[in-house]
Amino acid sequence: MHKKIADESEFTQSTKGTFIKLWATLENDTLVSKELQGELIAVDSAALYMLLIDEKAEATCIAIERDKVDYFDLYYARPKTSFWTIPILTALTATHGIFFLISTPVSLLVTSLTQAYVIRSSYSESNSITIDELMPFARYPRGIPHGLNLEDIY
Amino acid sequence: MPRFQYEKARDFLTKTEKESEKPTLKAHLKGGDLIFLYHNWKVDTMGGFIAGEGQRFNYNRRLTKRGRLKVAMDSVLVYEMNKDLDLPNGAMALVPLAIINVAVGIACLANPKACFGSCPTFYTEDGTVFNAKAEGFSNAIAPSLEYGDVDDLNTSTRAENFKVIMKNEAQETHCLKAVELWALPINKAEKALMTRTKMFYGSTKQVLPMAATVAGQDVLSTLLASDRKEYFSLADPENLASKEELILEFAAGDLKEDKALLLDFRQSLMTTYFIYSAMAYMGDEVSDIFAKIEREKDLYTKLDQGLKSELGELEVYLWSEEAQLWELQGALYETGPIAVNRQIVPLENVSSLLPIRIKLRMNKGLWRLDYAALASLDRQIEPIKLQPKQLKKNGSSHLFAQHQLLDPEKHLISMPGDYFELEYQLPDADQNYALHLYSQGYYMEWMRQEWLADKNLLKLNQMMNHPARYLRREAEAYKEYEKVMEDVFWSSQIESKKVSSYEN
Repeated sequence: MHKKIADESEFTQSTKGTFIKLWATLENDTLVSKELQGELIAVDSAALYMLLIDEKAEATCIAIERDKVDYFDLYYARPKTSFWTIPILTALTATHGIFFLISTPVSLLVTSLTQAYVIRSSYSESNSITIDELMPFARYPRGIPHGLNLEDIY
Repeated sequence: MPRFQYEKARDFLTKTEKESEKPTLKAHLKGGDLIFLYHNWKVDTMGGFIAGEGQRFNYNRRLTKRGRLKVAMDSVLVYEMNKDLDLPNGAMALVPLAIINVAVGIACLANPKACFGSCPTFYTEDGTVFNAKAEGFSNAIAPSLEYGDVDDLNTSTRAENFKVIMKNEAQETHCLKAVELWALPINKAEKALMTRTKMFYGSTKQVLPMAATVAGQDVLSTLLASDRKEYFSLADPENLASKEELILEFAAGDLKEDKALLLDFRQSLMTTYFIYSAMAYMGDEVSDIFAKIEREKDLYTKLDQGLKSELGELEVYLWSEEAQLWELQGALYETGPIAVNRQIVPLENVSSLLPIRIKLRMNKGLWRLDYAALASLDRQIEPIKLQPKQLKKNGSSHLFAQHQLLDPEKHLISMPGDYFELEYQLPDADQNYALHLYSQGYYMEWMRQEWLADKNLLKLNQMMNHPARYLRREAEAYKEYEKVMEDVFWSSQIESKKVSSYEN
């Protein structure tokens, strides 16, 4: 999924909406949340619009009523993770003699938590940002432009 | 929020007027197009337009124009000016950990003697690696040197069963003849204290010192509680056998009964250094020399007692007002830097009318003292010696290992990384017991590849036959990494919040 998100350096230069991952109950007769991901197109008083990004299908712009959105994650940029640090730094503790009993779990914990923190810093969850606050991150911050049809957006 | 949007141009103009280089400006147009202007844009409020070098994109963000752009302000829906994101970097954030890891690794590779523990270590269930309750037979580095060692677990129980965890955390082979739990029935508020000769006393009162000094320096705060805030000094850079004196003063008349000095103590890493140095000096002849030690007890006596006689024990003196001199009361000695030992030295001819002054004479840089008190000796107690009723090896019941440990003719073998749980059944669940641990056996230190380069039979000879000279000549080498060794050892114990005090 992270491959679809723009690099940090592109954030200020981006002309498109921010990448969003969203869970919504689209069917009235089901309680099952469906996961959707793609570019945030616009937010208005009735709905949230996103361009679905699916490698197997053509990009489609859809409207999701606000009250059907269960929760979402807004990804500002691709996290700068370095998962290689987990095995490498942990393996280094083999040189610590008796102290490896402490340094191995500490290293494993610190490297894993750091990578988790790096990922966590790259997005905001719906419990920390409201749907209205998503507006500046949309391709059209003030809603779908007048006269533009959803099927024309790609 | 890393995105800033403005309805009116004046809202961002005031913010950017003082900036030498303007940030890039995005203008979202009413039809869905986007104008992207670089740093040289201008806003003409009188003319009602913005202009500058940039790009124009249509509503699907296809580039439609590049170059000099001019847009009427009333066609702009919202302006946008973004701050750079400053996301944490997964590799950069770990640079401090990497530095610590590499530093500890280098320190351990350079000074392997500082990083490898010794002897079987014992824990109770609440223990962590740096909260060992006992170290067994630290001096028994060969089969012929097997002996039994008793350690105060500093724990009491009223439970039916008690579990002891035994680990092999070093590159050693441990051979255990016995691991017994010694249960001492005690009354409420009573402690069971042990002398060096394994005599046990019930004690109900302890009195803290009112002063403690070393060469006039106040060290009292380090000795008032058994909290791992220890007093210790660094070795003399001229002579590793230099001595120091710690003077304790107790108020008069606090204890009427027979009394003893109670001390929580352990060694620094100095003796570990000497044991490993000796092995390094043996180099590739280590097995030959150890075989010789087995055949000739005299050789080990020279190896051990030579240095030990120079380093000495932790001697306890009592000041006699009558004779106006320090009278030797006894001495303590336990090898091992990990577990804290609690032992007493009974005091004789103590006046209850005068303040009590006690002198501890010890080798500089060799001892760590955690707690000192005067303890009453109320009654003598005999320990009930218990064998393990159940033994688990690495998490599973292990009858074979249990039989090995219980058979007086056999040894239980423990290899590096082995983990044993020994469960003991106490005789009376309604009785409170103070617990001590008896362990008997020996261990074989593994030779390290990196030690082979340090082979020096001349130094080994000097260590055995001329220990006083050796301790003077080795001082410089020892001091070179004493601080590193201590730092490595103690920095790894931050989790257990141990603080030590230096005297330098």
